[in-house]
Amino acid sequence: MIWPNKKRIAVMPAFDLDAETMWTTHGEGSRNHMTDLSRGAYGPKQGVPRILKMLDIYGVKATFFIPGVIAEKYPDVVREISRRGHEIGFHGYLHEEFPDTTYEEEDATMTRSEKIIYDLTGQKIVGHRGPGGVIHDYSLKLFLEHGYIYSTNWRDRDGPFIHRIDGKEVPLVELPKDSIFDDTAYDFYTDSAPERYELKSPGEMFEIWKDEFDSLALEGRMINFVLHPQFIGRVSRVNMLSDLIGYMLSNGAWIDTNRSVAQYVLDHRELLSKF
Amino acid sequence: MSDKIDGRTNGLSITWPGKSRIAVMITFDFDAEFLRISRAAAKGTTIGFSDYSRGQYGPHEGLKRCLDILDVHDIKSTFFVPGIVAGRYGREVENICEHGHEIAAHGYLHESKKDISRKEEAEILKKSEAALTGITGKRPVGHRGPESVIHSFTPELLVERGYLYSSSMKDCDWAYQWEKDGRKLPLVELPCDVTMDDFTYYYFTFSNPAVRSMYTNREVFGNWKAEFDGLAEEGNKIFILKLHPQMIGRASRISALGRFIAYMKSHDAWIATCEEVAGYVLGQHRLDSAKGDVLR
Repeated sequence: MIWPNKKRIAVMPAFDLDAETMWTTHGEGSRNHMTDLSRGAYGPKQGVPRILKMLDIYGVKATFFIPGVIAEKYPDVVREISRRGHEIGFHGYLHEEFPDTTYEEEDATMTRSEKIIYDLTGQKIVGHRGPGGVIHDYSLKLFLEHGYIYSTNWRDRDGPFIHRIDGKEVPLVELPKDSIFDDTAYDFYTDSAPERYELKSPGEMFEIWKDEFDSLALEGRMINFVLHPQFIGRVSRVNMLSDLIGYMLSNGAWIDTNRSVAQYVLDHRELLSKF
Repeated sequence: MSDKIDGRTNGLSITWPGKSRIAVMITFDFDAEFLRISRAAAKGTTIGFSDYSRGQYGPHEGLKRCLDILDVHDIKSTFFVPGIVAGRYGREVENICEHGHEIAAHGYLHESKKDISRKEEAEILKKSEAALTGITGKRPVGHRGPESVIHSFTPELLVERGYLYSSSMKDCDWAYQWEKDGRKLPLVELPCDVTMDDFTYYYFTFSNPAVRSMYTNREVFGNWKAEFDGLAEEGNKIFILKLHPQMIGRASRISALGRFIAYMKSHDAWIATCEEVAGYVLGQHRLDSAKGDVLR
């Protein structure tokens, strides 16, 4: 058993609170589109209160990756997320998804967003999830310089691993994610370019996630979710997520923040060969 | 009344008539062939005969079934009608009125351009109001932007022209009043979402821009029931179905809609027109601001 308290699997409920930046970086189709932007606003306005209430029912703590500009726009929401004991992680300032950002620019963006979150909540950011899954060849170095202990960007494994720079291990844990645990693979429908014409039912999402949970738990692995309050925050989906969390807790899941899991992995590196 | 965005507040405190748990509006966008014509225009393409004829399934076949099922369940509904549809399908729109349903504004040509001026939008409203009033004898009090497209100046424009409500936004599941410079406008927003839009599930075409959705009624009504149940449980929410006679109007779907209406009725839904709900919400807000803020 590698996880604490004989748990079978580590599960990280993690929310990308992109709000309007989901649409401003989505493409031309949503430019100046008031009601597309209002779909983004649904996240902080309607989704977050429901999600926080549901997490409280189970006493479960989650990670919220929040772009700096959204924290500035919805300061009370960010304070409330932190007050209820949840972690806040880095997710760009404007949800920047540009592959050609320089080291200096990214360094400045990280400093800027970290300060916004610190000033609002007193939380020092220790983890990074790149907007749109974009990172750079210098990213690991930057994470270390900023005192981060984890990254959640890789998609190549179902378990945590320690990053290496120039062949040497560094104190930085990867907590991988994948589209299979990203709600936008199922519930992001839009008729604005670039169009996405699919909408799965909460029942189908539950089935896919439960199946994967059951099999990963048998292997003693982990799940890192990528959930967007503007989509998963609809009441039918929050109710489904609530059922899933209840199921996972009842079946040997350790459910906690990315930060807690990363710290546990760092403290138990000798177990990594068994992950 | 407060509309706080603070991570805690999940809507405004409101009590629905007769202790109902939720306000339900079954709405129809009666776009006919202009749904696809305007969509293609916005994308710089044109439509072929298939799309044209499919649009006409609304007035030629679907509408009658919609009106019938509403009568069966004794429900009044709101139809959002582009001005040009009122012109081309005058007899059908008269028929909707004769059944006691509300007619509301939905553009003139179903225009969905984002970069128009305030003056241009005022012209569109004026033209569509004239077309609708010519048939109904009553100015429309509600507006829904074609393809949900509205502009930053639209709410004020609607207030100036005597509208009571707008139904285009997607930012929450409760009815709220628009504000301007911190001051409440006498205009209620009735938000809806793509999850409760039949277009999401039933529009299928190969022509550009391609939309290829085709779901079972079990999937569609399963989604709607899950949303209805959750929102009714929360108690202060609204539930808007956004339907198109050319899509929901197919025989099997109308039958499923009838069963869903019966389900909602038997689970304490107040099913009314948008005008009735918006009027009620505005009245409650005024009562509450007289009594001071009450938050749920």
